[in-house]
Amino acid sequence: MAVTRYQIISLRVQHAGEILKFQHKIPAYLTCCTGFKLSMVGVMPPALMNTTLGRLSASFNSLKEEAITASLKHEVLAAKDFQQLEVQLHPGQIVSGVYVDEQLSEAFKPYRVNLYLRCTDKEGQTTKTKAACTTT
Amino acid sequence: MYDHLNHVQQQFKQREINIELQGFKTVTTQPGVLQYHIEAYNEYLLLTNSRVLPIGTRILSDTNSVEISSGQRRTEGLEEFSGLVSIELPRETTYFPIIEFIQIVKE
Amino acid sequence: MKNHKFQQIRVRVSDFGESVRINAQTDKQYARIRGVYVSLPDDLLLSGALLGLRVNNQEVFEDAHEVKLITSGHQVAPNKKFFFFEEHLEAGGSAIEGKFTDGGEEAFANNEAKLQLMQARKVQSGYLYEVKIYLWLTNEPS
Repeated sequence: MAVTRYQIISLRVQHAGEILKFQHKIPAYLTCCTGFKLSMVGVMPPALMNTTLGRLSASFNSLKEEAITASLKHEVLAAKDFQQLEVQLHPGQIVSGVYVDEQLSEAFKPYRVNLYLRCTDKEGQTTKTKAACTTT
Repeated sequence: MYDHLNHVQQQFKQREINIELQGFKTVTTQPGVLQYHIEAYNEYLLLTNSRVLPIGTRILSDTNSVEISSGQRRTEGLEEFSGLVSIELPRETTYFPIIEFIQIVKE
Repeated sequence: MKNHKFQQIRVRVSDFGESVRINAQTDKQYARIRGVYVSLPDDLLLSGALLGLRVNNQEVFEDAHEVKLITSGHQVAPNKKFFFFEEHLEAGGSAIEGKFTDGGEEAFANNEAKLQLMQARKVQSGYLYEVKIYLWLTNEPS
């Protein structure tokens, strides 16, 4: 039976306009990423509700596949579903990318960004994950 | 000695990106203009002279972004940009450099 | 084989009411554009914002197309935020052209504090805000 693991890349944003780079090694037993989700952790002023906090770009397989670009919005009840992805992972390779804060400086409060990657150890997927990595 | 072009060739080979063209691109900045935009879709621009850029210069692209700090003013780390590349010079700058990139057009 | 990519097209808006031309290109390595999702930095900006889009000179949205019809709020799951194209839209290095029109300062008529923050940013950075147009590119057949 396939296992699903959620890799979390967590970034701390400390000032307005900050640019944060990241590198994360996905364990070699995970062979496929089927989804991603960006989430904000922290307390924000109500004035920032439904505003964009920043944007993220990420590539997989040690810069071979640029698959993700996404905006992070401050939302109270964000939908819990993941954005579909189908990345066949090369064993033990790096996910790398950058997060750019885009807030108005006067309204800034430090916060944390979590990038969740939903990955599995099987190339073929269950219907639950709605995505399938094809074998190469 | 560190060789930019050799490094680029090797790294793109590792990343399994075939190169259609390797060239150079420069952006000449001038007083009164703090923002510059270059379209580099299906291309990569590798910054080669970060050490001459004023501290606080921001280069934002679709795939990578940097803000030049004193630690980044070195040659070894070739920052790579793709998509719409926006260059923002700091407001207080009195120095307007020529910004140099290695341009890689992918196959 | 690469299957999915979310490509962003960033559009800088310098002033309220401004119309900005869009010129971009899709990633060569993906065959078709499955959908589009437009992200504005503040929901207030949605009022009156328009987006026209052409792919390889083929009109997809007229210039008067309202952005609120191709975006969605927080209750919509990320996977469902996209507006899906029924027809086959070629990616593979296609030329993306279009026009984004800001809805004007009136969007902030009931929020003076936010309007001032926006104007402060314009002084600070030289532009009001950036629109992100996310294209869902895929190699899956339509």
